[in-house]
Amino acid sequence: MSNLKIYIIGLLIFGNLALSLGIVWVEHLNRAQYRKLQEFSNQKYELRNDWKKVRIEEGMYASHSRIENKAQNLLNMSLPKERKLIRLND
Amino acid sequence: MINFIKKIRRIDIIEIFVVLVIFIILLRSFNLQYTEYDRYSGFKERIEIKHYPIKTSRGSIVDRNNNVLAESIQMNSLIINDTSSFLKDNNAIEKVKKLCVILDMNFKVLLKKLKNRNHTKYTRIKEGRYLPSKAIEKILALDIDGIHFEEDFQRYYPEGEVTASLIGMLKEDKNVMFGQMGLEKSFNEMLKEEDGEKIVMIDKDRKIVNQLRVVNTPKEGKKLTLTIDTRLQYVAYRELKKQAIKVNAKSGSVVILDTTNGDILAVANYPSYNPNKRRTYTPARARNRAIIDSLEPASTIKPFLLSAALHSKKVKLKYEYNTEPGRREIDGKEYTDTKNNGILTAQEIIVKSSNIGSIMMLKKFDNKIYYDLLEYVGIGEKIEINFPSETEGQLEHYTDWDKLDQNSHAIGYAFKASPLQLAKAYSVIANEGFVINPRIEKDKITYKNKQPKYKNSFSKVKNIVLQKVIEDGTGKKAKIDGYTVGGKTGTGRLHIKKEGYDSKNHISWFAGIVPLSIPKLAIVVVIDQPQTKTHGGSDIAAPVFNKIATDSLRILNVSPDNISDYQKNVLNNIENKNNYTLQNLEVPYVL
Repeated sequence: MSNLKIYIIGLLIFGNLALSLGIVWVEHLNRAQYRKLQEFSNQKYELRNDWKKVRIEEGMYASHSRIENKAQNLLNMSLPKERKLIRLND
Repeated sequence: MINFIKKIRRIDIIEIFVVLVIFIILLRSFNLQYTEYDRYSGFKERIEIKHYPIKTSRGSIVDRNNNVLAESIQMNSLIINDTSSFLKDNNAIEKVKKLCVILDMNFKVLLKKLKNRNHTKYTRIKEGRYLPSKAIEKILALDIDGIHFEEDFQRYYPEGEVTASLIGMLKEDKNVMFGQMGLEKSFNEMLKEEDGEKIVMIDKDRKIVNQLRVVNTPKEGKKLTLTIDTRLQYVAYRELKKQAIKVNAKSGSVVILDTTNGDILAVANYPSYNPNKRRTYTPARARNRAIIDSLEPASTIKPFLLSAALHSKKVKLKYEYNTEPGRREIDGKEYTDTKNNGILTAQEIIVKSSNIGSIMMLKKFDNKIYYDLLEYVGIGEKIEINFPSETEGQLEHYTDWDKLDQNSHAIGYAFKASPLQLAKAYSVIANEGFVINPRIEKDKITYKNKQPKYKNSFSKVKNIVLQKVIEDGTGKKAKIDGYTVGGKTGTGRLHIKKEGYDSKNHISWFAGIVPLSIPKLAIVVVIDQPQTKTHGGSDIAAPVFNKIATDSLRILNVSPDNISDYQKNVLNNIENKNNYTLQNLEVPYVL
């Protein structure tokens, strides 16, 4: 068997091994990336859920009954009579 | 033999061994790949491949300004796995005690519940449903084995009782949530979500490492945008509740309609319940009386009688009718006015709300004209706003009216309409004959007829008569500073099946249009069975209209069309000054 043949066979065996390891490595990378994608996807979902919660919270704090109550009792405010109101934007 | 053994070299033994090992490996590979393939691939699938749900949420409901009226939020619920082994743990009692503190529940109750469910695989605790994130962190910090959290969706209604009868709520059946009542029910198909499912590969930590395929694509619920304005809805509910409690009424409703485009801006009902606290629910509290109850509209229908009379050309505003002595027997039945009004013109019949005058007026023209007009404004016809059990009211064909029926129709009895239908009818007067169908869904294209009917009659009634009712008639308490108002009061007797009309219990109405010169809102107020000495629409419903309309016009920034002398002065001052600022503006301090 000539040296060239031995080199070619050796190269093929090495290539085969490298390819196998490469496949495993790429599969690992794929899984790692997918896991990351899952994490981001979950994070997105949680953030969206948090946003919904904050919107409801905002609704609670900005509810008309609460604002009215605070304005009347805490700040002693009252609505002026219509005849005292001047609309400047008309 | 010995020679043969002697001839075997060490290398030969190694070669044989290697060949043998390769053979064994090949044999095992063949075994795994072909003979036992199904068995091992089954193992792999059971361990590594899982069906995984893709959860989605129900669509939200928002008002016209994008304020949330209903929203689904993902929450975590506490589950105790394998109750029996959980309790066998040495520290079980301590764990339960700590858990009770976080869940704010009685220790003995929880322990008893867990012992009762000793045989079950897992236990759900009512108090552990929809836990806030802080509570979850505290429970996780306890480091208790056998506890996990399940994701679940909770529906929130931030406006609570204010919008409860309109929005409705959900019901759970076999782990599926669907609209039980209100708009949640009628728009269920649009709002509902469909969870998906995917096949995934998991690792030893049970984390997803790869998605193999999606079995069912998830479908997220669509957002529903309503025409409701939460600010007006709140004002309507607040004033309605205040008055209903004050006069000790059984129930009440308010409808606010935008006459320019048919948008329903508010539908408030009293009594109500808080959909976030299910125990406050009763069928009576959840009833949307403004849309599903039909009532006899009493005197609020008289402007339509006058419109029909004017349209017939047989009656003019200045024609006179003798209503003396305020109590009269007509066609064998006695009819009364609140007082002896004497001789009244057709216009004054509406302003003073004379029953006798109204009956006399209808006798002057054909019933068909009156019937056609009532039908034209939508009495006896479903509005089709897509609300469960929406009423179509009741209007018998004029050929079926006998003389007593005719008299009853003249004064707003013997036919029925919902407060929403009456608001629509008043919007037709506001638009001088144009019919715009009310809508609750903002994206829906609403119907508007191209050619108005009864234009002249409605115009006269709107501009002359309805304003007079507020200035000189029964609707004085509905008068609003700065705006022209048109409207009509009504006081109906409660009709009880088989027993007839109840002389003690009444229904107080007020229906109005504001501002009258450039109509924007049609508002109907109904207070059912006020327990006060005065029960007329003028004393009970008109003040509610006043307060709701005043606030609504301010909120919607509608320009006043009837400004006071003081306001005129200030505005003149502004016009006379160039480049004015608020500081240099001379505003008279004392009013």
